[in-house]
Amino acid sequence: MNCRGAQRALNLRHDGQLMAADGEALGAHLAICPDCQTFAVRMEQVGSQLREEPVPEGPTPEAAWASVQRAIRLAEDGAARRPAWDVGPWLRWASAAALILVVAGGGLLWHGGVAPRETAAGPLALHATQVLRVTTGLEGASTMVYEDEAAGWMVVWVIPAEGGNHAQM
Amino acid sequence: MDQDVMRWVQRAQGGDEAAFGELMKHYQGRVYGLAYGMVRNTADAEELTQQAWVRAWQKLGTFKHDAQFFTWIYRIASNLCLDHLRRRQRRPEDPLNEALEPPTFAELPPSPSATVAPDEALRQREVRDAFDRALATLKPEHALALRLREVDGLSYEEIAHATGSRVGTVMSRLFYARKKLIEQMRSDT
Ligand SMILES: [Zn+2]
Repeated sequence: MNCRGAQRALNLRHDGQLMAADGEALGAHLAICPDCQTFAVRMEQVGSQLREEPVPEGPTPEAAWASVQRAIRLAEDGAARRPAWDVGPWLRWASAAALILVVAGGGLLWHGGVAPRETAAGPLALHATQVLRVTTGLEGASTMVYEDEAAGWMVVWVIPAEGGNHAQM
Repeated sequence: MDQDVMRWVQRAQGGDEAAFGELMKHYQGRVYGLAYGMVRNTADAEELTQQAWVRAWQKLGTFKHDAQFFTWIYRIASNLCLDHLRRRQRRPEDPLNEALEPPTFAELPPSPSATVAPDEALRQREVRDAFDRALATLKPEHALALRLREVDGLSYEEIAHATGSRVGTVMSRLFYARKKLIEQMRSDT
């Protein structure tokens, strides 16, 4: 048995998986090889270091369960509220782009804090963090389209005059 | 206890949220310990542990009773941790070694080193820091296999199930993880 074979055998021995015959060959090698003796000692140290590693206290099981319950509710509410026309990211982008074109074609008025940037693609070219607020043809309603950077979602808000209803794509 | 676990799983699969709560509370410490060991950050470990349990609730219908529940929940948690580590490695503004910083003294529970002489405590701290640095150089999949074996005491077959890999791959990961740590310990001392 050479050193490489001995180290592999030590790995198995450490996990209680070494065959008896291999154990004899390993013993014979260890008797004459100080490097592999050191390797064997260090292997034990690796195991004990990992086992003795302190883990900062996490939340109590009760507190953790309360958080998980809230997260489950949130996920279920989100799934229930997702509109039937939520059909995947590509179509979400396509729908948003179509909406922008419709809005652009309508020659609608801009208002609000963020002005659109003029680009070669036209005044409504959308940038990741840009927020666009436009009036729509609907009486008293306005639309806001932006990309939510954290979620990576294209968000379209349709805001009635009183504020309130919105749809998220 | 295994009987309890099986009963909780069956009831939870029937929609009994309280039974799922019992399951969660039973394994919470181990799943959190695994997540913390992988990501080395309490806030991320708590977040990932929570995500794992939400996902477990959502996928509980796919759990088969010929498997062990703890390797199943470990698999969910492990995948989330590995994804988290891969994302973190891709973010240049969030260097890996910063993210893998060992916890501060304030975060740690009292350890035996707190009661030994200051010199010895310092030496223990240095050994631990060197070990943490070495651990951070392992591939996440290798570190995961090693942790599941050494800390959680899983068998090769259980690690294979918890990580979705073959037993041969598990053996190989364990060998290379240990070898690399041993080499690092050599060069550190
Ligand atoms: Zn040798």
